[in-house]
Amino acid sequence: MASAILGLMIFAAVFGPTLVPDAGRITLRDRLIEPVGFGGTWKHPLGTDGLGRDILAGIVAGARVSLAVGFGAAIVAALIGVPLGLIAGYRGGRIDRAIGWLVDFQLAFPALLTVLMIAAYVQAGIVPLILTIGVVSWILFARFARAFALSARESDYVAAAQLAGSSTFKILRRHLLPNMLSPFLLLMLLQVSGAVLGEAGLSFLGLGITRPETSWGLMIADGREFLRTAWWVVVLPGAALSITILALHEISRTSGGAIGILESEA
Amino acid sequence: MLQVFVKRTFRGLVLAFVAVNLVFFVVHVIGDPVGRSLPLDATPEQYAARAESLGFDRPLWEQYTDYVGDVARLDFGDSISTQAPAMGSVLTRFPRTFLLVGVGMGLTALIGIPTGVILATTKRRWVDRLGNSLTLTALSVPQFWLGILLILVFSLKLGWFPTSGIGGWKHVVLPSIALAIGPLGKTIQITQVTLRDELQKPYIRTARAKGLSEGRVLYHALRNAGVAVATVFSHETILALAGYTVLVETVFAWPGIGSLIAEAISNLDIPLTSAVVVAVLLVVVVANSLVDIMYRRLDPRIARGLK
Repeated sequence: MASAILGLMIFAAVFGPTLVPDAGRITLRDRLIEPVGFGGTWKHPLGTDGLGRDILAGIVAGARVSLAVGFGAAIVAALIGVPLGLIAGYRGGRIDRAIGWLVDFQLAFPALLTVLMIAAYVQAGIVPLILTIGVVSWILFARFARAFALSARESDYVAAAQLAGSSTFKILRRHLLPNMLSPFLLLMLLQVSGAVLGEAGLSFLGLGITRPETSWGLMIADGREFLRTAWWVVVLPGAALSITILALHEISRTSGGAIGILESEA
Repeated sequence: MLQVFVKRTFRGLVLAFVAVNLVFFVVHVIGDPVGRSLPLDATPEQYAARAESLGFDRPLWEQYTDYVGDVARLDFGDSISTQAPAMGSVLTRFPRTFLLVGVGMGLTALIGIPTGVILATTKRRWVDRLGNSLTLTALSVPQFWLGILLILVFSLKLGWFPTSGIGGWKHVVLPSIALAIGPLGKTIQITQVTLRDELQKPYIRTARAKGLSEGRVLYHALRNAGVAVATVFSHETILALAGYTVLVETVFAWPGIGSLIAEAISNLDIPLTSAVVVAVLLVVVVANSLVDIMYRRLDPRIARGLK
């Protein structure tokens, strides 16, 4: 079920904008049309917003933005966190302490402030969002990779590789990385859901994606002024956001392991 | 204890120093507050005039020494948008956020911990299933969207609570529920998982074999699960105090520190932004130290350096 929802969202993100085009087209004559079942027609299955933009097209276009930022930011975070964590755990000693200090520091410094400031003073858009959200969320990957490297350091296969004279880099890349793949992917899903929420929140505040591009958070923000008369403008994009997050959580939960990772965190 | 205190204070000072530098770096070096405060079709002359009035035409090191000097004296200057002293706004806004976070986290503890205990001890399948679905939903619904839904149903349709602003206790109800939803999911989850693990351990079998009542057994298990629950709970509280209330405060027009952050940053109000960042950081450092002291009380193993 959860995988089906996520699959549908990915499908919408990849092919949707070709199938349901005109996400940003304003048709004032068609403003605030109800969804099908509440008085609307199939011309706009999920109704339209205050400027006559089609909600379904908006949700589909928003899926592309959300998932691009979600996966993009999680990949950036992993690219920073995993190497740092592996080196810290495998080498230990001074390097471990230095990286531990970085982690402590990032934990104590509210990431939100950095992201908000960069969004306001630098520039908004998909790529800046991926970079800023990614850079502030590397800690979980680093701690996970460190815990993994610490336990793997004592294992027989690493000892064998060391005896065979492999370099540290080769051991980390060839032996540790492939072995941590499946818990890593689960952690990745959790991080994607965090980044999707982050993008929605920033766009809601007007500091993320801006028109003419579309995002779920932006649609919710735009719909607030019609809340009394047109509930669907706010409710439907929020529902798309919620079920996407729900699917990501459910997959990482039922695949097991994820809770184990979080527990070793606590 | 004294050593811990000194270490914490030192770390707090280092953090504050880095934060102040970060604000400078974002605003003066990579940011362009002059350009972003002007209309897109502004002429180069208008740009130069605005840069001069804001002091951005001076050499960078001069801007830096001025800025750090002012911050070191805790003199952040007047807000650009309201003309009022920046630190004054921070001091009037923070207590309101404390109220919201206090009520929200109170709700989280009152509902979350008992629910987690029930889910960890239940033998009925449907209770387990229902509980897990509710937890998952709580973890997935974005706070700001839930806030708008609450306004839609309980303010606009039913008229039970006001839509926004501050005033009596009725104004606190909806925003604190919206704020509590995420922490609630996490609290239920961690209570359920750690308590279930504790109940499998040998000391529980010993306690049952001795003939202790099931209530006493649960009490022992809860005390040991307490550290993990407290970790998650305090982490969520500190996040909320660190400005993560910004979305809920914006939805409910609640004039706390979160909406002040949003206002300061969207108005490119540099004095106000610096004041808010430093103040939030101080609160986070103090809250972290309090949590540290609490751990030492909860778990003597930490105080003796065994963990």
